[in-house]
Amino acid sequence: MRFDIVVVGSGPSGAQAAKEAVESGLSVAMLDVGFDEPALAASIPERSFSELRRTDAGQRRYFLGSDGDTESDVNDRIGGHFTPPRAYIKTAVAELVPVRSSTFFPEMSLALGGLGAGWGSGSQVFEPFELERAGLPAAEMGGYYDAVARDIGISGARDDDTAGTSLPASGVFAPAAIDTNARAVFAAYGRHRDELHRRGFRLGRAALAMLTERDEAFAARGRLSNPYLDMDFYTDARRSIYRPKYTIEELRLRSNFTYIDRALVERYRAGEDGVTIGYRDLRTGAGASVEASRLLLAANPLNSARIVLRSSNAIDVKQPLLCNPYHYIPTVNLAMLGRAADDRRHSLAQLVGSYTPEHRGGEHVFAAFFSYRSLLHFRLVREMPLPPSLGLLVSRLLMNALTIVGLHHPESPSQRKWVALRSDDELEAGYELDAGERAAVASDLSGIAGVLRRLNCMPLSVIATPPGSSIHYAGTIPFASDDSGPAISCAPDGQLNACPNVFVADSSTWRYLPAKGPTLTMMANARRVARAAARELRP
Amino acid sequence: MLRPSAEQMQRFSLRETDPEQAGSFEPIARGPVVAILALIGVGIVALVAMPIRLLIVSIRRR
Repeated sequence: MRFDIVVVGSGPSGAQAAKEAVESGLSVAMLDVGFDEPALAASIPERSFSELRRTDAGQRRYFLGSDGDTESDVNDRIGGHFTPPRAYIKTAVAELVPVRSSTFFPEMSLALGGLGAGWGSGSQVFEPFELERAGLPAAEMGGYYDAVARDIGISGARDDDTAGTSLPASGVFAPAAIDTNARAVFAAYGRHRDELHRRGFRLGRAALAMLTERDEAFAARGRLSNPYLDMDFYTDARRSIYRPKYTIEELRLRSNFTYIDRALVERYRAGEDGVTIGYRDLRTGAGASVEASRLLLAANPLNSARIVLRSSNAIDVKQPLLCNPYHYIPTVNLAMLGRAADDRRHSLAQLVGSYTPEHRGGEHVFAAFFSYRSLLHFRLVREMPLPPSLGLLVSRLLMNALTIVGLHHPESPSQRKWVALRSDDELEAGYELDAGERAAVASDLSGIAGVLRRLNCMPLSVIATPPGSSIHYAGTIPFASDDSGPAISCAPDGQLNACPNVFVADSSTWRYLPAKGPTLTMMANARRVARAAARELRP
Repeated sequence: MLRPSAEQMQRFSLRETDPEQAGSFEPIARGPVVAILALIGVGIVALVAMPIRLLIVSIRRR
């Protein structure tokens, strides 16, 4: 089989790269492992969280899972990415794409839609200085952002203080309604706005890849507005929140698109007029291959690096690695203590804050504000040094006032953050912040604690998550236009240097990782790279 | 050391997902004064009980 373009991976980057290539009329194949288990999520009745809690005798299936495991996962202490209906997202990762490390603990996925199957849907654009620093052309990116926003549906507020630095120019729906807790935080922000601006902090309603109002074009594609059932960590009710699998489903209706699942890409061999891509068929265990004029890698920065290093026979060659340091800060919103809260809400980030302290020299630290309810009490109680009965009492008293602030810090390359393919064919990673980076992170935390107190949100603790748990990865095959970069690098359009028929379409190419959610930019860049790869192939 | 054991949490999560017991897991919203007093009460109980609990846990671990 030979195709014009083969895309590896079905995550946000792969889906958008494939869409761009298919729309240009080329023959496109996607190689993907593509695990998908929608049955459990689909079996959840479309009722609100509180109603399900009171009435559904079968709720353990989706709240606890079949094994009832309530133990804390290293990367899942509070997060809602991997609830039982979404546990399949991590299927077979440790066996098929292991990463050896004692300092870096990444999450990866071989699911249909990749990690996008559990994406929290935060959708911010990068500012021009962030794009340029990452190596992305600021002048070109606006059009790609708009194309993605129109395709996936983004909600956000144009009149919020964060809008100018985070929303695409077009394709934006009304902001999602915020819950009682977030309204109290937002009101406190309004009262102290000038002072908080002087401290470098701005707050706004979260921009989300979520439909908030009925739109006929999206309805025709099977996507409706969010029902505010507070079950978004468990189901994709009405498909209001974008998942890459929706794009793949649409592409599969096109005659010039072929989806090959259970295909684990291992290496490629580049020739003068094309590329042979070798993969393992996971159904049979046998090796197989396809040919293409161009290969687009979008397998996530760790797996794309693994494929490139293996194909280049680059053993023990260290490539850079970027991953945002991440903390979360459980806080009690004093304005909500002892107060009742609305039942109607969504589960994702309610508010986002951009914190630009002086010591960062213009860089932003990014805070997402979540309310806590649908992840149940047990995740909180197991963290408390109290007997469960007392822990439950505390949790019930605090539940409506609990505000979890997830804090991402910006990330630049250094010698101590790297990946390398070893002679036993395993990918190894090392990750350590240097003293300057640790000091900057500590200053971020100190500054944001003061901001939170001004918002009436009293920090209970600051929880440092293990390196890798932010799920924001980049930089393993970076843009480099001269010999000063790492051994393997890409041209500005994503073309792999010394390998003109191979392009890297995911965030592997970025030289810098802003603290904002990277997914929207990953998708926009994937479209840009796909267009570059298709340039000389258009029929 | 004083966090609940896996067995305790297993029992807890089964109770929490029993719809007949859902009322015992609802948020308590009886005003800020009640909330603050209750939290202070829990804190005092936890502090008083802590040495005894530490002793019990360390004996069990031997």
